[in-house]
Amino acid sequence: MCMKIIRNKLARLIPKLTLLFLLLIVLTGYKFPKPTDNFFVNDYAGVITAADEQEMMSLGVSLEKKVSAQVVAVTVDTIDGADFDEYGTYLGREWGVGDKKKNNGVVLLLAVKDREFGIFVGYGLEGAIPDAKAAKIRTTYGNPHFKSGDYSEGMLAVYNSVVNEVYNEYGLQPDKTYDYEAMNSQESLFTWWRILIIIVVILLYLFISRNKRFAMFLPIGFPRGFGGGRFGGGGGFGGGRFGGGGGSFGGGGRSGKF
Amino acid sequence: MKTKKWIVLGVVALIIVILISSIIGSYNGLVSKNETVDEKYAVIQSQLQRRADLVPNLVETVKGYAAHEKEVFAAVSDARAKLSAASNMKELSEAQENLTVALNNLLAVAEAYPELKANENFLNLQEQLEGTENRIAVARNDYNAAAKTYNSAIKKFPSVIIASIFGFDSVDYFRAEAGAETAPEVIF
Repeated sequence: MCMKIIRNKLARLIPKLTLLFLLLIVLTGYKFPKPTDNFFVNDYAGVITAADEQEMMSLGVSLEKKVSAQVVAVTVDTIDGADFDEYGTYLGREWGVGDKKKNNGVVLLLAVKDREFGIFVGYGLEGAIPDAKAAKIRTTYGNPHFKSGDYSEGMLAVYNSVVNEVYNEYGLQPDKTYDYEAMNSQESLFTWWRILIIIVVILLYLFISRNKRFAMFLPIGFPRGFGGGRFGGGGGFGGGRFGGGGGSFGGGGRSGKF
Repeated sequence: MKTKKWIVLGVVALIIVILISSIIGSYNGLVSKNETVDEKYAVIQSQLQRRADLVPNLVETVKGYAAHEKEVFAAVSDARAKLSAASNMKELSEAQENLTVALNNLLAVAEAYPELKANENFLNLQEQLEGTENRIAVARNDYNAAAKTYNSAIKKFPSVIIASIFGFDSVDYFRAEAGAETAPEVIF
């Protein structure tokens, strides 16, 4: 009886929900995939090798660490007939590639089946990578590889050259790359430090509170002052914690068929 | 008796305060929406200017290879002059459309000259031109989205009352270029 009512209600809801869903699609215009946890490399077409992905991640993470700029590689099979330039630009906006204030994001979009590739440049980097330069990078580093089907190599070559241009803009040398492999071990090192600090604090507290002469210096509520979460402000790296910084795009960069 | 009078007075004062603050809030909301429209309009203008600035350079480059195509050059400079003279949204989008047509003709002419097509400077200018057209398209979408937000705000109740008292007029949309209508509309 009760189930029947619920089922009836659901049946009546479904058309409404469908309508709402359609309305949402119409309102946003494009449906973008969600960025992956790695954020800097989003290989939806499955054409990038693990080694190249690792290298791009290292380049991307170290670039962000140093100058807050974000270079994001995206591969898809097809964009289903959408306007390539608009798709790339609005994907960059939707994901918030680059810093919110500096707008220093770059999106590298490869649509394998559409045979199209583009470099989309955020507002803040339009000076570092003007359209002519974006076009040049695309034709010099991307197209030769893409034409022969070496998508992974092509993406890496373009990624490398774009990262170098961004470093140049900030007057830095693209010297050492961040070791992506070592990141996780570094993370555990950090945790060791945290544990050590906590132990020292506990010992100090025990010592001070037992010693009546020092106890008067204790601030009120001090015993509740330590424990989990207090030292959590540290490193923003480790698996699955990358994301966009809120940068915006205004149509900079160039794209084309290969 | 006296306290009753005070209560009535207090209630009236409270209603007035609420009314005034809601009028101010609504007014400020409309002002900031109008500001956004102006801001986006300025972006379109600067991108159109950027495009117009590329034109003389492009014309000179093409002239070097195809000096006799005088009609095409004349059409381009004519369209460019009209664009800088445009004073409202309608004129602006018309002039913009004319310049697009003229530039497309110019680029079509270039197709016939292999040496020109291989010219480094020409290629760069072409990339810049296409890039600028993308920026104009993005700026146009942004402007239209802002205009839509504003236009629907001044038609809705109760802000429609505020809008008519303070004379908020609806703004024009920036028309899509010929051939661009088929492209999917992007609204955020």
